[in-house]
Amino acid sequence: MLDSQYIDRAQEFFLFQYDFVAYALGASILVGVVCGLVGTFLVLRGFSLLGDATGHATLPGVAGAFLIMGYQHPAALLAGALASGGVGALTVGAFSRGPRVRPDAAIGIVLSVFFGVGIVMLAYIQRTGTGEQAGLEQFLWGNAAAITSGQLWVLAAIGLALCLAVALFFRPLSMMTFDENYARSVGINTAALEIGLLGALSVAVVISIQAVGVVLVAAMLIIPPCTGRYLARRLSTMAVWSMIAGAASGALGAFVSYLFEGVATGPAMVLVATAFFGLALLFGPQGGLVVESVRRRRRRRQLREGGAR
Amino acid sequence: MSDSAAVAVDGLTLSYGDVAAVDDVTFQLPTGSLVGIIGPNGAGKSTLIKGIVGAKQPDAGVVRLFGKPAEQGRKLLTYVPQRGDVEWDFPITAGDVVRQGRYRSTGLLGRFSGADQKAVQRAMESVGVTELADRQIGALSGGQKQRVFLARALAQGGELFVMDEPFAGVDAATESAIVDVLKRLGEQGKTVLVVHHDLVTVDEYFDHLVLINQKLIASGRTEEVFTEEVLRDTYGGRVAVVTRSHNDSAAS
Repeated sequence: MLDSQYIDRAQEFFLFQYDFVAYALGASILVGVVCGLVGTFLVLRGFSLLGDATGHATLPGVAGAFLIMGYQHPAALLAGALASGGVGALTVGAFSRGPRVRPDAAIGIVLSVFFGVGIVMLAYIQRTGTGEQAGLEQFLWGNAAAITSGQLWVLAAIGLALCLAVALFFRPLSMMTFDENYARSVGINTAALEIGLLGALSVAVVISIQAVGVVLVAAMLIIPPCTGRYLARRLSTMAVWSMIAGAASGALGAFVSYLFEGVATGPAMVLVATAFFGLALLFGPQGGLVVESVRRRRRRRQLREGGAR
Repeated sequence: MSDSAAVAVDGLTLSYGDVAAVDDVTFQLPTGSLVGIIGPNGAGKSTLIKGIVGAKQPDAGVVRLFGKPAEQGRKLLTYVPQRGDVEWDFPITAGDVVRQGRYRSTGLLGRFSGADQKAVQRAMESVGVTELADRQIGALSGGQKQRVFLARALAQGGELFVMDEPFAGVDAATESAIVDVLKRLGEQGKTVLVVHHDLVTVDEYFDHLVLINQKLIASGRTEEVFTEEVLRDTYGGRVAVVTRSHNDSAAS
C-alpha cells in the first residue's frame, strides 16, 4: 500500500505530471549550481560561516517587504532579502574590523540577532495576518514547489548573470584567494574584488532562499565545495565538481521532498549534499580517507620490504 | 638623482592600528643594484616591502619607482611574497602558480600565447622545477615552494624584483638556485630588493644595504654601511652576531 503510493509520486515527479514539479526541479538545480560556484571561493577564503550569517540575515528583509507591500510581491521579497542580507554581511565586516570582536563572534552576533528579529516579525505577521501571509514561513526551510514559472525565469536570469560575472573574474579571484599580497602587487584591486565577492554571496543567497530556506542555505554554499575539494587538484575542476554536486543535491533533494510529503526542500537537499560529501570524504582521490589509508599501507609495505633486504 | 633611482621612498610610514611598523623612512636605491634589507625581527622589513609593492596602504609618505608615481611604476615591479603569507591549502598546481606570473599581460580572459607558454617553461627550467609542474603546491617542500615562487616572478619579468625572505628555511640547493637568479638578474641590469636575515652572507650577496629598525638606520653601498657601528645601532646590544660574521667572511 505504502510502497505503491511512493511509486506513484515518483512517477508523477519524473513524468513532470504537474508543471510545478518542473519549476521546483529547475529552481533546485539553479540553487545547487550558483551556490556551488560562489561557495567555492567562500570556502577557500575561509568565509564559510559568513554565508550562514547572510542567509539568516535575509529573514527580516523578507518579513519587512511583506509588511510594506501587504502581500507576497515576489520582487519586493527578493529586494528586501538582498537589502537585509547585505546589511548583515557588511555588519559582520564592520564588527570584525574593530579591535574587540573577532570574526567568528561577529558572525554569531549578526546571525542570531537578524534571525531573531526576523522570527519576531514573522510571529507579528501571523497574528495580525489577513491570510495573505500564508506560506511566508516557507522561507525558513524552503519550498521549491511554491516557485512559479515567472519567478523561475527571473531567478535563472540572475543566477546566469552571477555565474558569468564569477567566471569573468575567475583569475583575479583565484589569485586573491591564494596569495593576496601578490595579487595586489600586480595591480588587482583586492578591496573592490572582495566587496564584489560579498555581493555575489548575497545575491546567491537571495535567489536560493525560496527553494532551500534561510536556515540551511549556508549548507549549499559550504558542503558541495567541500565535496569538490576531495575530487580536484585545481581550482577550476574543484568549482566544476562543486557545481555538479550542488546541482545533483538540488535535483535529488527536490525529488526526496516531493516523495515524502511534509519534508521541506532545504533539509532534503542538505541530506543529499551530505551523502555526496560523505562519499567524497571516503573515496575522493585528493585526500579521501580510504584512498589515503591504502596509500599509507602501500608505503609501509614498501618500507618493510626495503628493511628486510 | 631621484629620477635615476629605481626606488625612492620619502617619509614612508606604515602602521598596524596605532603601532607604526615603519616610521618616516626615506631612502633611494640606484637602478641596477642588488639591495639587502636588513634588520631584527619586527623591525618592519616585510611591512616596508609591502608598502613598496602596493600590498599595504601607507599612512604617510610617497613611493616613486623609476621616477614615476608608484601606481604607474609598479608595472615594472615583480613581487615574491613571504612563504608564510600564502594559502598553501589552495587547490593549485605548481605550474598554475607560475602561470599566474603572466596574468597581468593576458588580462581577465586572454588566452595564453606561445610566448606566454615559453616564458613559463623557461622560468621553471631556470630554477629546476619543471618536473614539479603537475604537483599540488601544498605538497611541495619549503625550498621547492620558494623556487616555484621565483619561477612565477621570472615568468612575470620586470625591472624591479622585490623578494621577502626568500632564503628563510630553505635547503642548500634552493639557496644556491636563488643566488644564481640574483646574480643573473644583476647581470641583466635589473634592480633586486631582498629582505635578508643571514648577516654572514650579506656582503657576499648585496652591493647595497638598507638597515632599518622601524626607523631608517642606514642606507648605502655595502662597504660603506656594513660596519659594526651601524649593526649595533640596528640590532641594539646584540653585537656577538657582528663579530662572528666578520670572522666568517674573513675566513672564506
